Amino acid sequence: MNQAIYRHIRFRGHSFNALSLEPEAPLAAWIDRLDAFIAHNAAFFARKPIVVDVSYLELDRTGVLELVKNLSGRGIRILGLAGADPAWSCEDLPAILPRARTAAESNQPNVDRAGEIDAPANRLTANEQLAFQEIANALENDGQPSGASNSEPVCRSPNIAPLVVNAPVRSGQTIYYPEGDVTVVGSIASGADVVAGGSIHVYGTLRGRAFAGANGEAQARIFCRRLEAELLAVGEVYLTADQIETNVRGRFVQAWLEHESIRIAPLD
Amino acid sequence: MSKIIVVTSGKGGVGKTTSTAALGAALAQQGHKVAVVDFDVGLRNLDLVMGAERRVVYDLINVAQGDAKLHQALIRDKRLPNLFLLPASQTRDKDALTEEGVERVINELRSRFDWVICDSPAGIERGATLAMRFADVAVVVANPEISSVRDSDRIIGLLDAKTVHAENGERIEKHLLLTRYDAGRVARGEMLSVEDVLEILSIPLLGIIPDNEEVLRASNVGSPIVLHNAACAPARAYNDAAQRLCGVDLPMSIHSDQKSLFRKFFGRRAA
Repeated sequence: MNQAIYRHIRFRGHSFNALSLEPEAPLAAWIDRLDAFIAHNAAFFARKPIVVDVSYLELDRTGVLELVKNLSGRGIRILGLAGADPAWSCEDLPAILPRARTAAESNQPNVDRAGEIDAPANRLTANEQLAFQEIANALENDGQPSGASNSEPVCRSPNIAPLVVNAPVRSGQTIYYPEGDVTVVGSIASGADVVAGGSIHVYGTLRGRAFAGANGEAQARIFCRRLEAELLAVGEVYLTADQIETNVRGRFVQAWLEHESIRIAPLD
Repeated sequence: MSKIIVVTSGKGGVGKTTSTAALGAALAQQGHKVAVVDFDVGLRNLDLVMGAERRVVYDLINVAQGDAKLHQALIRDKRLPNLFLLPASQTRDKDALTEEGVERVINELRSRFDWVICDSPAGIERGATLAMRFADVAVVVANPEISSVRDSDRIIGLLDAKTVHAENGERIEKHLLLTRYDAGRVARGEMLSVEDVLEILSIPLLGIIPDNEEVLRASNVGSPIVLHNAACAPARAYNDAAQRLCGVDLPMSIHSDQKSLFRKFFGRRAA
């Protein structure tokens, strides 16, 4: 049992509250308003995790990059981007977050408390101190163990489309889709990662790493036409290439979680 | 019609500079006006392989920064009058290159040449991304071994993300040039086969350059292989590759100096 514990490292999908900054077009005017805001509340963005929601802007990747540089130059620490095309994901942009739900939309048990943070968040200009207090309260009251959010994994939502990738996933690329299933029509190269909240389907050779059920969803599975993976993970359990039996290597397989260990069986 | 080619690989030592010189010379021999550009600022080699190291005055950085005119920096090849070299600076580093400067130089080259072949430095940092930035066509050089193939895969990902064409939502044309191919070692299972590499990289094949000692001999005397010994197997393979770049449909063959032993024809043209 101890052995089993030491073999694993722990991953878990957590929900945290973050301020979401929502720039509006025209951007230049919005930046001016932001500068005015910062001039009055110099420390407001200091050491706070900020999500930048670009859904209200019609920006291309370069535009978003420019905006990120602009905000970073003002001392705003960007935790992630919302409303951006997941295909833009690469080193020079912050992590692209899945479609966000505002705290009010969320139907999690903490909805009442969390719903309140929206209101003060909208008039933060009026009283910075009060807003901080409210957020701090909300964070404290959000103290449900992570299991609570895990019990309603995002991937269960019926409205979320699966992500279909119609090109090979190249070495060094990461496909991150915590909302649900990922289907790759092509191969996943050695040195590439695919992270899915649900199952992963690979119509090609899986040579990289696949993390299914990244939010802790134990029912997720990995399917691939040919298994040459560096690592397979389902939920919180993973297998490295060394631990994958040779009799399933190179074959059409599925992998799933059974009694806290990963099982792999051929499908051909 | 003018085309900008980047010769790139990710990994070092796989034959980018040799291939740049060979493809440049082969295209020039076919009558095109060609410029080969060394982007390996600080570690320049293309001037040596082209045999022009004693005639370097101005370089890419001087032109990019506006200290010299392009025609002052271009070195005309002594053997082929329509082949030119734009050398890199050996004393500067890659931070001396700016995107604006590179764009200006590339645009000027584009207006003067049929083909501009950019020899990328190894790695995935600034030098390599600037070399690929304005390219229309990428020649991805790989050796038939796994570390080279994985690095090439990484570079293909960057080509699809960081080039101007990719950012405009267009696709950059990508070709695989498999170098240092040793049919004997492939047969013994010591090297990846052409099929293995194509299966992993899934881009069209431009050519298979056999491993041959003539290649080293040619670069030691400062001559592109196709000019040094046009009859040897790698020279013929580079000539084929150059023709394919121009759209000629040739059957894919593994050239060999011992024709009876290893001559193999692949029925397919590229994946």
